[in-house]
Amino acid sequence: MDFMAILSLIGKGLTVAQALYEAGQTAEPAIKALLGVVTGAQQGEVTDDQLAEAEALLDKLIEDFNLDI
Amino acid sequence: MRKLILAVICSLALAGCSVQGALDTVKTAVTGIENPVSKSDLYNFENGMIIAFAGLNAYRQACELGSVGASCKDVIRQMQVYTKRIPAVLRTARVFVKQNDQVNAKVAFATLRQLMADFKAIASANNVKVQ
Repeated sequence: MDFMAILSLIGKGLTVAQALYEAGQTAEPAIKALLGVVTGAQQGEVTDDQLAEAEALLDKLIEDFNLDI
Repeated sequence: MRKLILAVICSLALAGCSVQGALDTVKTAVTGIENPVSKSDLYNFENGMIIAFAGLNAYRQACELGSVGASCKDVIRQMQVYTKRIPAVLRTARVFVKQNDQVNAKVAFATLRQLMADFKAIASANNVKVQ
């Protein structure tokens, strides 16, 4: 992912985080993900632990959304 | 100025804005990876999806609380036709990236792009704001 794509991702992520905050809902996953994007961009490479943590969080969020409604 | 307008729109139509931003985030995350070969690319993609599904879960929660239109449950069920296919494709994409199997990783990400396009179409067809 190039630098401009990362910036775009951060901008859109902030929009989502703001909407979550204003709705009184937890913005923690979105903020954590944004920190991950920034950290990954700074470091250039991510560790297996960082990747595993992001994967676990994403799996949980998808599982929650896919529950029967 | 654009951000200010966006903030006002968000405060007026919070749930719709969450979905719109979430879908845009997925689009950015997926289309930003033309050559998904590195773990860093995968990490950025995972983070983009985290942001997106945080927004989608907020929409779902607002729906369950009755804060958005009554048809929201149908919209979510229609989206789930596609989002329920994501975990399997994602698991495959993760394996291919970690094995540095670039050809199959690209195929897996192309599938994710198509799933994204499909559930974005569902959102648009049901008047859930999508750019």
